Amino acid sequence: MLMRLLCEVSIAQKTMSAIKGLIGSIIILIILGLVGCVRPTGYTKSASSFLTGVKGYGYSDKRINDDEFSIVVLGNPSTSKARAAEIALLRAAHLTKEQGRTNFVIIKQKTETTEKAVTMSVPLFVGGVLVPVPVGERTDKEPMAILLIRPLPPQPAYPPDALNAAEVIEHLTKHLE
Amino acid sequence: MLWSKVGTNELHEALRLSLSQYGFLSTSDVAAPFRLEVFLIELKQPPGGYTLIVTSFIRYKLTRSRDDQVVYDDVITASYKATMDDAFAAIHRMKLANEGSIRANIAAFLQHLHSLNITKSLIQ
Repeated sequence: MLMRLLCEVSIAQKTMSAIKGLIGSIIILIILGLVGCVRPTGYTKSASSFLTGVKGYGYSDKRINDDEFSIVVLGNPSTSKARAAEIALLRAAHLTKEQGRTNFVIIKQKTETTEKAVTMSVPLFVGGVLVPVPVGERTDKEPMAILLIRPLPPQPAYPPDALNAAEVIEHLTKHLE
Repeated sequence: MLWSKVGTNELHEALRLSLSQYGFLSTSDVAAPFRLEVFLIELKQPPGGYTLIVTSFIRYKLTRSRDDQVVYDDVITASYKATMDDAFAAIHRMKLANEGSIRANIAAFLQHLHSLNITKSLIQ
């Protein structure tokens, strides 16, 4: 009787372990599915990781000298280079307004497709704990847009290549929503 | 922070060494006919992983001192991939990837300088 009970307990434990493994796999499949359907990067400021300092997706900007600014946009793999460029342009327009200016000129513009190696792992139960086991690597393509701009001081007539910040904001805000 | 960064001073020092090595750097600060401004726009680093790919975006602006005419102004992009074969420790791999990316970027700029036919020993 005792042996039979121990046997049943052992079978129940094995069944539970198998169910746990199945649930783990389902969770991973759901996560993979969600990653596959990820939306393109929107107009959002990139956040830096506290631990590594690595910037996330979105825009960032900094002053490079007295009157020039650089704007960098990193898009996720679902983002096109054109969209990254538009996010950079929209940020340039907002930055111009923040500087109390109405118009700006583009000094340099560049889009690039950068690579990021991503480690792929499979979850396995080891001693009752779900442990990710690396099984390989894939390379993701991430678009980047670089824009160097100069907000222009007020003047009677702006140069022909100057862009009006308000117009850019009006056009691109709707487009990027 | 866990990952090493590249500062402006380190970039300037690396560039100064490269320009000097290839004979472009002026020996006199006063009479240099060309002035070079360099700015690290972005150093794209991965959050982690076995293979670490770092991409650098550096702006190089070369101005002729005589008339302040800009003879070269561009943002150069260069990447470097560091794998487990290079270093087991991720921190060391990242350092190698950073240095490799900056080195490749400066090398690309030197190629442009050669194509500009800038006379050597003239850059400040």
